[in-house]
Amino acid sequence: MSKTGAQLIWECLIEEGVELVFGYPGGAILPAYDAMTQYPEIHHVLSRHEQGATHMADGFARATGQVGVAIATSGPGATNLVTGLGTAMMDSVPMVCITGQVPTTALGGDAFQETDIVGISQSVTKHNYLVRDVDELPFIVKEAFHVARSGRPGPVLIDLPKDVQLATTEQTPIQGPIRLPGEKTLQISDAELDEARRLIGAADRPVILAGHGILLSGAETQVQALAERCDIPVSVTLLGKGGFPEAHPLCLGMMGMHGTAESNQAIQEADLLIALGMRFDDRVTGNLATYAPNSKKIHVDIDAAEIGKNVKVDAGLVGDLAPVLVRLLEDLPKKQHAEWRRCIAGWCEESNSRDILRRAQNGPVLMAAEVIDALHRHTGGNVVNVTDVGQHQMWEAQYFPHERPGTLFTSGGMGTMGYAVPAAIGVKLGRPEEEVWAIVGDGGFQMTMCELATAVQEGVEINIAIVNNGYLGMVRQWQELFYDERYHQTPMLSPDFCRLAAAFEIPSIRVSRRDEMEGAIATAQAHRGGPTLVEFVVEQHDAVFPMVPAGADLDKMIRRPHPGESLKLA
Amino acid sequence: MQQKPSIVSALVEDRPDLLSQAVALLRRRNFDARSVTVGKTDEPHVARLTVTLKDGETSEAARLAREMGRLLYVLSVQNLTGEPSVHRELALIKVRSGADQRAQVAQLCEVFRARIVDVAQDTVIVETTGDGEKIAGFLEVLRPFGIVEMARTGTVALGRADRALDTADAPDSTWVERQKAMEARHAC
Repeated sequence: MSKTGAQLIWECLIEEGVELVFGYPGGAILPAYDAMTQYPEIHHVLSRHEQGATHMADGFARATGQVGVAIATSGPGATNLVTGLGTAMMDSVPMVCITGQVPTTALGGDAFQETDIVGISQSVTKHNYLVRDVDELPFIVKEAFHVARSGRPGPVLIDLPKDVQLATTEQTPIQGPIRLPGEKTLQISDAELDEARRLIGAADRPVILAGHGILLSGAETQVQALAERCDIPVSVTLLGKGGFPEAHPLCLGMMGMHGTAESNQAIQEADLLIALGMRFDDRVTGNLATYAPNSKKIHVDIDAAEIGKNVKVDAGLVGDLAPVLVRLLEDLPKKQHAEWRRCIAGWCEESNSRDILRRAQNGPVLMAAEVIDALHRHTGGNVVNVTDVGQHQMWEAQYFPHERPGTLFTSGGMGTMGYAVPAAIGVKLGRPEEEVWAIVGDGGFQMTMCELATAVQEGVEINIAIVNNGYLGMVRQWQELFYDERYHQTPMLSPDFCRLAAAFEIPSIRVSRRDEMEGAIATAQAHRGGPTLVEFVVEQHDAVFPMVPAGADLDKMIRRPHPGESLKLA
Repeated sequence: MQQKPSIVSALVEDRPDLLSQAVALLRRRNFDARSVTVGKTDEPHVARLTVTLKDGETSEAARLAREMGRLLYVLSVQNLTGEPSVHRELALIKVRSGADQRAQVAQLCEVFRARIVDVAQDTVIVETTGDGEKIAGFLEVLRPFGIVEMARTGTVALGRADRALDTADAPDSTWVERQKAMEARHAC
């Protein structure tokens, strides 16, 4: 029986297991939206901006491991997807975006709302397609989902001209798995594994660098087994949080620009780095020329192009982390590194002495670190956090320990402000059984706060914690440290967030005192039927410490001054 | 010392947007390509993509080979930099040459194994094939006559002897199946 391209696209999505899509209709995608009404198994969430739809699909994908789907029309609808695509690309998130396009007969002629989204999105997608013939559609959708979720996941865009949506075809969705050209089974030789084992056996000061790949591969138990068998301390990347329990005695916390001092010191002093599913981003290495100067390096990644991209390695293993580690562990002798552990413990002690949470908090103003700590204590820590980008993101990473995988989602590689609120909507819709908190700054919140309406319309029970310091805090911090305290364009006037919430009929509380925190968090937790908002008014001038200035050596950190001590630039 | 040409060659599925995807990769990953060529091969649906970087860019060529492996259509990649291989480029050169100079140009063409493929009153077009060095040398001897314009194809290359790329371990993809299905349908 013949059907239209508009019908076929939904049948193909259903074949891929899609039940939830995020989007925003418009002229060139209208045939598909019209046909959607015939497929009640698909639920469509109407965002308030196409960027919001991409972050919702991204959050849904990260939370479930399934492919997130976002839909938009041509022209501005399509260009509004670009930030979300870039965010997903940098953080390896499986996503398929479908855009309407002007009819193929009008392509290239500057028709109303025409834009070359395939050209524009080439560098922020894993792959993209322009569908020129309705008969191609099932092949392309099948391939797009395969590309999005296979190997190192990433976003894929399908541009669907209006006449292709209206054309009829006898084609049906393609069933079962497919193959791609050049797709090879990754094979690691015994010799490569032996070399890795030899390096581990010879090391006295090893450190595991635990990245996002652990969570994508589901290699948490193998990583823990490796760390415990060979007594290797574990430092995590921002996106690797949850891949290794932070309460574990071997866990050093986060590495990098705002990582723990002991992580960075251990990496610089190490004689072996075992990098698992991470990519040596500049925010975790600091100055590459002086990075871990005396260490051998083992790098395991599913993306061959990552091996040796930023850091030269001694053993590069290309493969899916979990099975690679299973093989590595087969014949790996136990080791102890008591002296190395004692050395690290000394660094930890120094860190603790500078920790703001260990100081008596009796000032009149809340510190952001206290807010994060309160969220952790009063929720029992058993929640899923979605953070935005900036100081609050780093404080969450420092003060909210994550003990199980899939409990922190944030825009790491791209650093997309405005990510948290829409992403949290996607996370909650993907994992409704979880308590979800969107933790945002006052700046990032205002970038995508229109999505509050989406959360209300869909009855999404997320709790939004605004950490309000009245500044674009991270930029302000750079101005303080590196631009002679010229606070230009960082002080920020905000609306009354509680009255704003009221306009959306969202219950809200403003908290500015320590003794109000527990009650506010409990009230937010108890609310049912839609989102809640808690605004925490915090100290305006605090900075995130430690900090490795951009491009500096990883252990040249600016530390939080002891009381009475003045700030020392490294 | 002559620096080695940096050449990466790949067998790819012959899809319509292959060239734009390849060029997007070069820009996204910050490569300075000297030439990019795509052409069909003996196998239907398989094309060869050859990218030439600046001479001597050995580590960049290795990086390019890794990055090209990321392209969806790529079946197999070979870094020919420093490998025994044959590199050729075709150039068309329009030289100022009246009747009295034609014999001289023809003589030079013979030395360089080039040939005259078009003759007009004041100009001739010569065609030559060779590696970059040979074409550069030929240009130098033609320059005194006056070069009106020229066009070059960019480099194509093959590894010598059994250094061959093959598609044996790359199964027919869904796209090839689709092409075959659509061709069969149009044939009916």
